[in-house]
Amino acid sequence: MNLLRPIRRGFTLLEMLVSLAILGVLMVTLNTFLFSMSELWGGGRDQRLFDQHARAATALVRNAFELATFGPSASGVALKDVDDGAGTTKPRLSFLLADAGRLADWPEAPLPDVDFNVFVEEGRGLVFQWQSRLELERDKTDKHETVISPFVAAIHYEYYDADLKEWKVEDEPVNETGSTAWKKPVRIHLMFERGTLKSEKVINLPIKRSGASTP
Amino acid sequence: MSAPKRRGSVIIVVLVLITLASLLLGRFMEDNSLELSMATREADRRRLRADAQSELELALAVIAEIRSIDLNKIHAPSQGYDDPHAYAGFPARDGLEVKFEYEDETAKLPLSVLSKNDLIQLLYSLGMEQRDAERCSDAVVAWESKSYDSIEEEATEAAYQRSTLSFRPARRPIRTFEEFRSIGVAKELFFDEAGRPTPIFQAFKGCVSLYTFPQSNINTASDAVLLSQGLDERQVGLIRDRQAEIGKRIVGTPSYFRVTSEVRQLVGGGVNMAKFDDEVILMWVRVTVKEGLSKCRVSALVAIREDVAYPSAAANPDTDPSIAQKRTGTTTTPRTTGTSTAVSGSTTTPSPYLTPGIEAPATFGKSTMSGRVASKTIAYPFQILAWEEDNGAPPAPKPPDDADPAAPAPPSSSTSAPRATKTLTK
Repeated sequence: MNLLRPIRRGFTLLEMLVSLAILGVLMVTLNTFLFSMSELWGGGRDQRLFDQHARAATALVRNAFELATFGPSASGVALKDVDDGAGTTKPRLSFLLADAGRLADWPEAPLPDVDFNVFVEEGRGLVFQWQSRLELERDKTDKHETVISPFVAAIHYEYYDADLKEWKVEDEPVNETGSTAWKKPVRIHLMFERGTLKSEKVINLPIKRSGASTP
Repeated sequence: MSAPKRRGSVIIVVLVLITLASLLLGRFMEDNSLELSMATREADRRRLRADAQSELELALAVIAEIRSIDLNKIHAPSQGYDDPHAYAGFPARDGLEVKFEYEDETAKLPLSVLSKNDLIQLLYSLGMEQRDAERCSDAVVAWESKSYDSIEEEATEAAYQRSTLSFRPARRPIRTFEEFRSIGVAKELFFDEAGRPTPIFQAFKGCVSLYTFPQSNINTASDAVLLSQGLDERQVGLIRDRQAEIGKRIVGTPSYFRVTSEVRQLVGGGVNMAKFDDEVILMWVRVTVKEGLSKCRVSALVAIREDVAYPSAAANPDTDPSIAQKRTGTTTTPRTTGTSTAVSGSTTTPSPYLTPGIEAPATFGKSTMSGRVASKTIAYPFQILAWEEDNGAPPAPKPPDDADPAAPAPPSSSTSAPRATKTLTK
């Protein structure tokens, strides 16, 4: 009976495994290639570059805040009323750096003791406004400005309400209780927007403390 | 009895599944590889940062204990704080590599209290021509002093006002080394045409501190600092020999000087030791922790004693308009120059705490002799004045490697070797 059965030889297990492995590698390679090509053609590339930009801009702002807080005799970051150039004052995050480094583009030699104000202006994005305390003719000269990111649409301010034991994110800064002074937020939220792309980044405002555990 | 009919449907299904799986995998890798690597790096960094802080606290605790044993003085790492784990008697946690580095800021001379002549001596000892050293020192003192105007045309208030961005001299001690780029004369001698620091400026940075403290530590002071303060090469050699006499020393005598009179005894009389002390007052403690491929480095500037200060910033003209008005006029501060010494009230004031513009640290006057701040909470033995982490902004790009024929030669032993100042003409 067995001799009458026709011989039907299939693939061995090893052959199947090898072929499946080769196929899998080919598929992954093909997919990666296709996705890369689609990125080059525009799909997904915007999102990635937008995310990278948001991350880099946030890191730059965070680093500036830390420099202004952890250096010797650093005054830290505060919300202060600043002249907006149109005759009114607006609350802005302000800090002082002994050396502005690459945040400032000086026409000649870099000057020390640079005051920075951080704000968002419609159509321009996140702007660092800066001026050395040694500069003269301050009333005649516009303060210098550096656009950090044209994609920041707003800064939101996050506070902790100790009474209600909850966090609150405000569109505008709030005053200290019973005072006209601005309350320093615990965090700020940078709202990045570009068309339909959106991203929200959070920065803790550093606090200078005494002791070994400074930061 | 014929064999069951076999179809290729199973292999088709498997192939389709593999295709789908590879598609999903490809998409997942594409979307998440960057996010995943960033999240991993962040997690590693946070963990190692906590380790680094913990190791830093150990180092500070060991320093505090050694200090309390050694008559409230820290002289040099050979006191035993160079290896905190060995001193404390327990190792770092498994898998963690820890490296401690100590840089005595008081091995340098406090720039804010150096007189014009001190600066001339220092720059001359670093290899600057005497005429240039005098010009440069004059410009720097004029920049810092509240009432002294430079005899050098490029460093006068009028010259600063004429620049593209009109400004005034700081009239307070220098706060950053980048500030020298703004100071007339100094910017030409300290930086080349491409803005790169000259070898003399690099050596100068190694010899001066921007912090104010009473005296420099002779145990850690460099040859250049010692030579600039009137010691000759023979005397410096005697000090170095004494510090290197490991094993030959009399039992109980450490490799560092416990009092400055030991130095005087060693090198002979006639040496002015007024600018030197025998202990560390301000020190960078750098802790590098490494686990696998991840690494974290924190640096803390620790004030061992409370009598340390850092210059405060210039007053803000926006909140104090009198500052701007005072300087914007066409008349400049009347010159008080004509001699080579600054007028009183400038940075030549002998006591660093009376130096105009010097601000005491937050704990100034609040600490006890042992440096412990009175508090109901945990009392840290020292104050941390500055803090740096390796996750900050990347360093400025290096200049291109292609050799610029106009660029100065890199510092060599012949150009950067300090020279004694005893031949300096006054």
